[in-house]
This record gives sequence, structure tokens and C-alpha cells, in this order.
Amino acid sequence: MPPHYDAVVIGAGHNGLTAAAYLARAGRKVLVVERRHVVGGAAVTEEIFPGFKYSVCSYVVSLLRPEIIRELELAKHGLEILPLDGTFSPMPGGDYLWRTNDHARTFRDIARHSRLDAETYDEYGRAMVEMSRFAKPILGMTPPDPFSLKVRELKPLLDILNRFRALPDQDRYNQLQLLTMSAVDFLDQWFETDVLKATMSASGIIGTFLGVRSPGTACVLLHHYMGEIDGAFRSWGLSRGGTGMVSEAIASAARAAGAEIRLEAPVSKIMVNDGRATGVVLENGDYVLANTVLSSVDPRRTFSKMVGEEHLPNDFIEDIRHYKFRGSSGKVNLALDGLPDFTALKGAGPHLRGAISISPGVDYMERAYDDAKYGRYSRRPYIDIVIPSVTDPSVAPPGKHVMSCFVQYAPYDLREADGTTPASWDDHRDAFGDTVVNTIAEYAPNLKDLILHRQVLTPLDIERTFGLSEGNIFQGELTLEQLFFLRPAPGWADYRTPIKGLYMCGSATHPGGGIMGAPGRNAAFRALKS
Amino acid sequence: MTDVIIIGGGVNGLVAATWLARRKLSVLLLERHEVVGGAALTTVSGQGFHRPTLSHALGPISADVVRALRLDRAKVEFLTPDPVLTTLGSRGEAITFHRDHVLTAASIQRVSPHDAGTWQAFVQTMQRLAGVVADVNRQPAPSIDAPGTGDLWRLLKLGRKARALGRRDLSRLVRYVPMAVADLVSEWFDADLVQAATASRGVFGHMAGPWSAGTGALLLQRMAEDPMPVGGGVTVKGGPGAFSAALAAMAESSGVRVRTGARVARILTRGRAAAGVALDSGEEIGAHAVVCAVDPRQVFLNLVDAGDLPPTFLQRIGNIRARGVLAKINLSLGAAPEFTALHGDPVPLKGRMLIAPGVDTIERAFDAAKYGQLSAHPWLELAIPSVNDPSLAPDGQHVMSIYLHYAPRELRAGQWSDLRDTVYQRAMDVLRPHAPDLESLVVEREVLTPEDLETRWGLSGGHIFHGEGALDQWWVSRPLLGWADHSSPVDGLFLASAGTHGGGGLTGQAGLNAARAISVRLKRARRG
Repeated sequence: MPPHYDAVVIGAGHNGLTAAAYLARAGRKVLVVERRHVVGGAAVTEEIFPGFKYSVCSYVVSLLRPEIIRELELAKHGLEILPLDGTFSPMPGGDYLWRTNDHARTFRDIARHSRLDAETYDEYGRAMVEMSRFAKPILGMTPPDPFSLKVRELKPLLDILNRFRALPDQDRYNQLQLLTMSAVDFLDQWFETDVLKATMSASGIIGTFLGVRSPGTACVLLHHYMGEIDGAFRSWGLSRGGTGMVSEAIASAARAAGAEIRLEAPVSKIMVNDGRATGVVLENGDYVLANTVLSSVDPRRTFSKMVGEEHLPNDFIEDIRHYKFRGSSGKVNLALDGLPDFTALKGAGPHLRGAISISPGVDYMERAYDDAKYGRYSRRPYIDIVIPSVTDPSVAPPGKHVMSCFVQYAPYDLREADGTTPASWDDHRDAFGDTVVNTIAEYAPNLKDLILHRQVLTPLDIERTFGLSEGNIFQGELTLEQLFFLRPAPGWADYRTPIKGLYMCGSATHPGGGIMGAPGRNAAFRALKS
Repeated sequence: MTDVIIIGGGVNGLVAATWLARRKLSVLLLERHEVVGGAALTTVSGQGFHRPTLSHALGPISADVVRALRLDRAKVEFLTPDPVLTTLGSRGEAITFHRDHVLTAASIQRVSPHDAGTWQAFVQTMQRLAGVVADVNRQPAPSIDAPGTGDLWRLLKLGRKARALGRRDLSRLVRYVPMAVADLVSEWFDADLVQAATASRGVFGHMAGPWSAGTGALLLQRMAEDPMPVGGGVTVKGGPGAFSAALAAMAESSGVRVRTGARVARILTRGRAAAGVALDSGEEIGAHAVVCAVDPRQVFLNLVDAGDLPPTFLQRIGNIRARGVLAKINLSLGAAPEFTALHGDPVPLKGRMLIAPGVDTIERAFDAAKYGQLSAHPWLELAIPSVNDPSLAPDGQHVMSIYLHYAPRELRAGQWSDLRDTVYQRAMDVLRPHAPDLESLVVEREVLTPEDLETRWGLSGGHIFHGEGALDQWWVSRPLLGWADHSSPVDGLFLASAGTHGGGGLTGQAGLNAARAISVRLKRARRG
């Protein structure tokens, strides 16, 4: 007789674990099955090179919901978020822009580029915090289904509309622009300094196949400010011991509540009987029976591979086929013998404690995107660098460092130089890694001499290692047509699926990717309600 | 004193003027050029060629406008070409789009049997969705702050119309609006040539490439005006100028006084209310109301005294995005050109020709515009209106009108006035492989740059639609959120151009919407 659970959760990423923890705390008998040998999914720390702990994929904790930290008592389970203060943007001419939480310092530094921008910066920050206040409650919502045209489903949208109408005129104007404009168009209205606009606009493109001038990228500018209104200082930061510690803490909370976690247990099928999920079949042939199945893996894997299209309605199959992944980013992790020395600001100063952004200008960013549109990785990519070992010495041997480089763009569908012939990432991985290192070395010439080990993750590697279709780090693009009540498919944004008893609980559901945990928590509540 | 002065004798101005005059208001229309027409003009060359100066097709004129003005009684002969468009591929293949789906599908079949199979469903689905957009376009935009009973009633009706779409179409509509048009068409078609032909409509006239988000909405917007997904190319006998002349004749017979060569320098105010206009000549004309059927940015940045406007309003007007990308080439030809892909078949020449062989071709052309450069390999849409209307050219000869994308108004280097020959050459470079004899047939040529559109026709940024059709510049926020009812912060000053609700594209809808809103206001003011 195969084991029987109240709920089985597929995937031990931070969302799957969060869902499991909430279900276990509600008294359900829960099993989490994970394909890999570690928990964490894309929020994982691995010692790929002895002594160096890489936050292999996801590298900063952004917007982890404070209620999850509180309710699951994650601090007790070992979570410690360290500050990641500031963004340092070196420029080719030897100049730089360095913004930190130190208000006066930031003002002075922006004023070096433009006095006007320095003065506008505060006003901009205040406006964005106001915008975030409007948008934030939407993150915690279970999206309604407006297409049902039922009053009950339309009411939450009407409430949002009424909240919008109640906003002061200026906020309404800003909000409407944020929703539709490109990050650069929006920032152009506020600022004149190229490097400032370029670095700020970068947050709008992460994980999407869009450029900083693409409409729809402005809304992601809010992300950064949402953290600030949680009241939880350091909601943007590094997890001590690497990003994997976030997952470990949630896993520990889940276990403490009684959940079981089985590693190296890849799922081959979700069992469906008479339109209802009844459990999962593992690749080793084991059966696990469950009343409820929650999938934290992306919709393509869940539905096309694990459920099988024969169990699904045609419209839904079509919607899942149209759901866009299009991974656009890569990751290069470096083990370093010492700290890189940036020409623009020499020495091991506090500028290395924050993010280092290779985003010297708006055109630079846009050209990086142009490459990707035609199937090339950016010859001069946007790179977001963090050196966690500066803040958290536990991740590298004494005096040594790990450096995490998030790179965009690296299109999943790579093409040869002719722009049409498909190319394999396996043949271009090293060249891509070289491009990234060379680009950084233009700003920190000593970098190449420091490298002890290099790990290059292309979108193909991200797909293979973490099971993220097409290497999309957010389990599907965060574009307007794939958000809120459209994520992952119209009519199925409330974590349910056409299969009774099967729920989606990963980043492919509202409110999307990043180490937020909100999808897992919302989905658990939705499953508990049934 | 005149009741209403209309500034601008384009299609919207003429429509608004006629409608108001028929409501017993005295109307004076002022046009700065010697002929009315705005973007619907015909240039007669020294050698007797009648060329469509700017637009070579009408929107077409919205059915609402035709009904409201009884345009069927005007002396206008509409020409509805069929086939409507032939798109030329890079390997000598061609697809001809007809008004009949079956004929179109048969033509697509040669390139992609799959796409031939989805064509009809695509057209019908998009037409259903665009029907809702068309409803939105022709109804007054609701007030955000104080929706009246009329607003709620119309919203309810709109809701019912949307509901009638059903769950599937409704979710499509919501998805398509923010989407990139390249993604939208790739959900229906495999062949690059078919994708590009449909996607090109979504970027036409806009600072956007097919991969730009929000261009799905633009395609729906175009289809709300013109149900043909690749554009119907409706025009009138005698060319667009003949249409404008007929509209003007109708306006005058309705009592509108039309004054051409009258360039408005300033809008006069008394208190915070419009009192009339001052012309370039210094002449002042009083009126109870002034209706601007010109680009909103021109109105508030050039014609109204800044002191009469709230600073925030003025700043937001300045922020309206209007980055024109279109250049226009007009040719007089000694004979009909031969397109190699047509193998001598004369029928496709009745419709327009498109040279945009792939989505990436359009996108690469757009890339240049982002950096303030003229596209090295532009995409072209051209028409040979003299095929359907031989009166436009001397016997056996022809006129050709070419739209070229992308020619961004703001150049990083150089000046548009120096680039006319380059624009022409780039177009010829694209056309040469398809029509090798074309250059040798050119008798006369004229190149209009986006700078010309701005300086000669008053289109801010050279933008043919008076501002991007982005979602934050549409419906309740066209031209600005809170000002979609055709009014302005100056009492008695109204807006009626393509830059207001109802939009651009030579449909006359914005002019009619404005006239309706204005007559209600004026009546109310008279009573009060």
C-alpha cells in the first residue's frame, strides 16, 4: 500500500517549502518531493568549489513577505538577512555613480553629475513609495477571475479601481504612467543623468525579454520601493550563509510543523483520476497518494509533462502553450583570491558591500537588448554584481571572496552569427563566461588575476539544473499579459487548475518571481479553503 | 460675434465644424494653408500628376461620422480597392490580401498552409475584439472623478458588449492589449511574411517595433477603425484632397465660414475663458468658444498663454509622447512599375504593396530609430492610386505614394533637411530588388521628412496621430487623464484633434466626439 498524505508538494524551492510549511501548520500531513539533492530550487547555496559557497542562482533576498518571516518564525529557524547597501555603477571614463542609504552621501554623489537630479531624487523616492503603497496590497491578493463576469469576482477589481480614483491627482497620473510606460521614458521625465537612469531602469528588465525602452518595464521600478514600506528594514539583502539559507530556514520551519521532505525524488507523473489529482508517481516508480497535489514547478512542466494534455481542456492547453518563458539571463559565479579593484573607485571600500551595476548608460542597456532580440548574448551585457563575502565572511575562506554576477541578456534561443541558424549554448558557454569577465575587467582590471574558479550558468544550464523551462528565473516572463489574473492563465490565477485537487504554488502564479514566498503562502491558503 | 471658431481645417476640424453649424451655431473655420484638408491632401504637380500629399488612404471615415453628417449625400465617390495589399517576401514570394478571406487564404496557402488555415479565424476573432474597441472610441470617455449617470450607463452597455464576447474572447482581449504585436501574431501564424504583414499595422506611425509591448493594442485600435487586418486602403476618387474639398463644400453649405490662409498666432482669453483668436496678421476675431482641431501640444505650448494654464497641466502636456517616425515619398511615374514577384499580374497593383519581409526586418529598422537614426533598411508601404483612379495621372502614367519607417523626428546627428536624398535612396535600395525598373520611371519626386510634418503641418514631433497610442495616452487619458472630454482648463477652449479621445487615422471620429461634447457644453453655458 503506497503512503498516503493529505498533501504532496512538488518541488522544494522556497515557494514549495512555504506552501508545505503553511499546510503542515494547519495540521495537514504533508510530503515535499524534490528532484535534486538539496532543497531550495533556485534559492540555493552550493559549495561548487571547495571552501566557496555560491548562491548559485538567486542571489539577493527581495521582498520576502514579512508575514511569512513572522508566521513561520524564520529567524528562529536560522534566517538572518544582512544589509546590502547601495548600488555602485562604474563608468567607462573612470567616473562612477554610487547611491546608498546614506542620504547626504547619495545627494552629494548624484549632484556631482547633476544638481537638479540630486534634488529630484528625494521627490522621486517619495512618489515611488506612494505608488508602492497603492500597488502593494495587490501582491497579497488571490487574483479574482474577471472573465467569469460574476459580481463576486469583479468586486475586488472595482475596489482597486475605486482606490485608484481616490488617489491624489498626481499619484493617479504617475500610476497610469508606471503601468504602461518604459522605464526609460518614465525616468526621462524625472532625471537627466544617463548613468542614473540606466542603473535605475535595470530593475525593470530583470528576468524579462524586454529592453529598458520597452513599454511595460516602468512598473517593475516599484519593486525596489515596495521593500521600504514593509517597515521591515533590510527586506532587501543577503541571507547569511548564502541564499540557500532562506530555503533551509523555511524547510526547517516546515519540518518542525511536521512536513516530510524527500530529496532526489523526481516526479514523473501527477496521477489524475476522473479529473481529480490523486497523487504523484516518482521516476523510480514509487507512488505517493494524496488528497491534494501542489506543484511549485512551472506550468509547462506541470501540465505538459506531469499531468498530460489528455486530461486538460483545449483552451487551457492553448493558454499554457502561449505562456511565455523566454529566459534572458545568465549567471557567472566566481571564486576570487582577493577583492576586485575598480578603477573608478580604488580600494576595498564600502562600495563593494552593495550591488555593483555594470549599466553605464541607457544606450548601453538598450544595445545589450538588441543583441538578444536576434538570438545573440549581449556582447556588452548588463551585469549586476554582488560580493556577498564582504558582508558575510562565512561564504568564503579567510581573505578570499565569492562574486555573483547576474547577466542580461542571454537568450535561451541562441542563434549563430547569421541570425537564423540555431546555436547550442553548450558550444558558447565559455565564450559567454569570457564576455562577462572581460566586461567587468574593463572596470576592475585586476579581476582576471584573482579568479580561482568560475561557474557559468547559461539559460540552458538553468533549465537543466533547476528545472526552469527555457531558463526563465521567474517561471515565466513578468509582463503585463502574464501578471495578476492572467498568471499563469486567464481564469486560473487563483492557484487552482482544471484538475480538481491540483494547485499551482510557484513563481508562475501571482505575484510572480523573486524570493517573496507569496505564491506559496497564497496557494496554501487557497488549498486549505477547499 | 461668432459662436465658435475652429482652428484647423483637417478632417476632424471639418467634421466638427459641420456638425456644430448644423446645430444652429455660427461657425468660423480657420486654416493656415491655402487649402483645407490637413493630412488629407492632393498635390497637383507641374506635369499634371495628382499625388496624395500625406496620407494615401482614409481611416476609413468612421460609420458613425458618415451617419451623423449624412456623408452619403456628399459628392464623394469612395474607392475600396480589392485586393487590399500585397506583401513581398525576400525570396520572390508574395501574398495578396483580398477583402474575401477565402481568396486571401488561397494566397497564403502558397507560403504556409498552416497560416492559410488560421487566417479566417484570426480575422474574425480580431474583428470581434476590435468591435469593443470601436465602441469605446465612439462613446464619450467616462469621467474618472465624477462619473455621471450617462457615464455609468455607457459603461454598463460597454460591459454588456464585452460580456457578449464570452469568456474566451474577453480573456484574449485583456491579454492582447498589453502584448507585443509580434507575440500576438505568432500565436496565429508561422510564416514570417504573414506575421510581418499583420504586425506592421501595429507599429504604423508609432515609435515602436513589433517587439514593443502594447503594440497589440495598436493593432486592435487600427482594426477598430478599419476591419481589414492589413488595412483596407480606402480612398476617394480624385485623391484625399477631393475628399477634403467635398467635406469643405458640405461644411459651407451647412453654414460654416471657411477661411484659408488664416494662421492663428494666439488664442485670446478674458478672465480664464477663451474669447477668440489673434491671427498672424494681427487681426483679432472674437468668439464664444474656440475649438482646436490641431495637435494638443501645439495648442497649449504655442497658442495659449502659459499664464492661463495650471503649471502641472502644462508640464503634463509637455510630457505627451509624440515621436514621429514616418517619412513620405511621392513619385510621378512615366509608366506602371513592374514587380518581379507579380509576374506581370496587374491585379495586385490595385491594392497597396508592403515590403516588410519579416518581423525581425521591421524590428531591426526600429532599432535605428531608438538611437535617433534613419533606418538603413526601412520597411515600406506604398500605393499606386492611379491604378484605380486614372484621372490622377496623364494617360498611361502613374503616381506612387510611399510611407517609410523609421525616420525618427529627433536625429542624433545631422538634419532632416539634408537627408531628403538619403531617404529617397534608402527607399529605392529596398525597392530595387522587387521593382528593378522603378527608378528609371520616376519623372518627379518629393520627399517629406518628419520635420516637414512638424513644421508644415503642425504635427508635434512629426507624429501623424498627434501622440503615441500608448495605454497611458488613450481613452480616458487622451490627451491627459481628466481631460478626455474635449475640454481644457480654459473655459470655452475645446480640443477636437486626433490627439483627443477618438484618436487619429483620418476617421473623423475625434472631431465628431468633440463636436458632440462641445454642443452639450455650449447649450449648458447658454442656459446658465
